[in-house]
Amino acid sequence: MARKIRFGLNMPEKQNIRTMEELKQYFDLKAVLEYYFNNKLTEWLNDRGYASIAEQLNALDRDKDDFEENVCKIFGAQYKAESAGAVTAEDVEALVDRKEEIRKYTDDVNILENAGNVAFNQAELNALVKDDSSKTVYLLGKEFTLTAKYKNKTYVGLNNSTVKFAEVPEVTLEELGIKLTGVKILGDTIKVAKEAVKPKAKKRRISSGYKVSAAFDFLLNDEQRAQSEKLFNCIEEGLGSYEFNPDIKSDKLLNVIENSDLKGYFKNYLDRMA
Amino acid sequence: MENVSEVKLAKFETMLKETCYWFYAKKPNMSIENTILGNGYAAMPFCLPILDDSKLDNYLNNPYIKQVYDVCFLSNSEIRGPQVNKLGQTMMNLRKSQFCACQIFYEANSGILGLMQALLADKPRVSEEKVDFDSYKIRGGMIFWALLIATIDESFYNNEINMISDLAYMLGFTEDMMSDWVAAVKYLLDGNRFSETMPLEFKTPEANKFFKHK
Repeated sequence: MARKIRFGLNMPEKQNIRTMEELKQYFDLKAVLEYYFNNKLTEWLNDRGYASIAEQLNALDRDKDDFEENVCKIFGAQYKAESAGAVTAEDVEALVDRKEEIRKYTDDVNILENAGNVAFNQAELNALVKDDSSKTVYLLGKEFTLTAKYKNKTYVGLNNSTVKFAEVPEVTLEELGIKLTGVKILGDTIKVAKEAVKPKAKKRRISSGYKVSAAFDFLLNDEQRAQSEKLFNCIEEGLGSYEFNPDIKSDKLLNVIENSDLKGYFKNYLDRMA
Repeated sequence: MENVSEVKLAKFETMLKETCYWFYAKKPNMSIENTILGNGYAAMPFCLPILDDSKLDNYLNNPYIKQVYDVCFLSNSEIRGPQVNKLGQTMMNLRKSQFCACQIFYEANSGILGLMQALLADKPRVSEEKVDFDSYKIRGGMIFWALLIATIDESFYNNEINMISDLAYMLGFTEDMMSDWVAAVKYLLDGNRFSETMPLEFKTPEANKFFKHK
């Protein structure tokens, strides 16, 4: 029979806790409750011969107001009522549920540890983007509407969410500091995304300045070269930042369809193009 | 250069041909739709004077530039541009003469045989005969296509706009004319077409004459 591999518990101030003494020493209510709700605490206790403690925990009524306090008592930890407001069993249980849902799409530890930065719906996304500390927002849902109002954000799709922008910004996503990965882009965002992939350069072409061409070197005197240089400057001024786009007519047509009542009829086609 | 689909190139070719017909059709009053009946347009009498063969070969690897060369310029030995010792004389003739004799790109001769040839041909064919065109059309066309190529390929732009400005000077272009020609190139590549009633305003009578036929 294969030997069971016993796992350690991770507390904020100590990783890989393997004994009851260590658990009591580094006890953290939030972390312990997470293990409680994902059933790993019971497993950990049973693996180490603390079945009676596991039974005590399982006998607790989660819905009672003193649930958190009773958990602390079982482990001989002091329950700090004044700071307990930040840690409630209800919040931790919700967090565990979120992590379980996220785990269906990714095992990335960074994302799981930042489960609070995962938006499951538009309302959660709206709340997250307003928070300056949330630089990276993970998207787990079918469709989201993004806004260019909040700069310097990275949106990472976990289940290939469809995103569109509430408004088409005048500047590129790169200039806004907005990055999109792992998402399907719809609608006017096509234009924005293309510009983001290929940033709009203020001066696309850089020549090294006028110098008479080899073909005309022997034909032009200094005065004529000076006149030619003026024409050179006209070209630079007019074409220096111009970008050739052979698809420009198709793009215009696409925008017309996007902005018309016909959009629904072409949805599948536009989705494929996006 | 990214791979360019045949559809994209076909659209680009159509745009080039329509523009050529607008600039210098053999029979200006014949609609483009009727060109199969024997109309054609002027082939630029020489290619842009790019003396470095390796650079030219690189430019022609860009399918859009190749397309411009195939549709607008003679594809025979003149592809490398006129011999340097002929260049000055050629420029002066083009600037001072009222007319410039050009061979014709045509889709087909009239009649069923011509139609069959047109359908079988990969590219427009060039007539043996030469037809006189107003020189201003050829001067305008040379600079227009040179500027258009410069927008397509950055290395062409970086290496050749001095050649384009020298060529334009030799052909009598002023700064205002150059601004108009640049505006017209962008107008076309932005998906518009030239016509007498096009909304683009030009500074110079030369541009109005060449682009709007006014």
